[in-house]
Amino acid sequence: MPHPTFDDRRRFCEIDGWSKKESARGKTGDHDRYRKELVDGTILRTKASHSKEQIGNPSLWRHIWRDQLGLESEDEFWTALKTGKPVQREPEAPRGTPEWLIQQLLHTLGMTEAEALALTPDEAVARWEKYITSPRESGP
Amino acid sequence: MDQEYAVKPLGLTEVRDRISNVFSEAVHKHRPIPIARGNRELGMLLGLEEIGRLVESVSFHPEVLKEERGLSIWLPEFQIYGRGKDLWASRADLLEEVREYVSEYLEEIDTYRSAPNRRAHFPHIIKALVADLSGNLESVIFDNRAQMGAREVIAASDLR
Repeated sequence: MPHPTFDDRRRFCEIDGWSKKESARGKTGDHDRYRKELVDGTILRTKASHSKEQIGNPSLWRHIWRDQLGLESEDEFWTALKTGKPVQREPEAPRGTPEWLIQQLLHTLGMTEAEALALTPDEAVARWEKYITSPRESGP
Repeated sequence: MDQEYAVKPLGLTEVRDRISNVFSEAVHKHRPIPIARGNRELGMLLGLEEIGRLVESVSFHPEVLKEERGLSIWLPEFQIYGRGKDLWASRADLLEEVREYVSEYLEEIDTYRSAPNRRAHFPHIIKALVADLSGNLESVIFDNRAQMGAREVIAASDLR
């Protein structure tokens, strides 16, 4: 595999539909900041210089493509640059409802098992948060 | 019937009327101040030292990565890096990146707190924020032995 340059990464972000982002602190530098939000809410962010300089450390490059660009493999990076097409990211498998939360819905909120299991994970969390943030009646 | 709490929250009007005293209670007397708006919305005023204590066990683990022309420092807790021609330049660049990330995270907290790959960063965001406000960001980021306690963080600052 060739060593990528920082300019390659900037081109990748443009091809893969990342948004160019201003510095949150109003700073200007010799690089652009990019961000991409995936369908599951994952936020990817990276910075890319206007430079032909190579990313010389394999560990750094691995962190960049895996952790910052959110790729499954390095190949996806080069394929996007070669074809000019964005990466096809598989949506994350939907998460289940945590077991402890089901227990709380059953035993603390008094829901039936059918009622608790009919809720989506987000609905279950919302019901629990509503319960724990609501003022409760004091005892007799 | 009003709910009974261990510490009755102050109402917003009372906080407004006594803001200087309330602030002193929290910051100088180290007393957390619960604050309520209406019956349902609750917040808490905490001094920086107390927040520092809450995140005392949170630490950072930067990794130095040598390159042909200089080096990089990767910060796994935020998935960011700094880069420069030598160690000091890389550290300075990473500190700028940390401040940038903390600022962006808090500016867009609604988005970041619900992002599956970002929500767990919150304790580290608070750790970095408190350290930065205390003038200790560098030692907190680059001392992964996490030896610095909340008192030292605050003592080194001019905020008291």
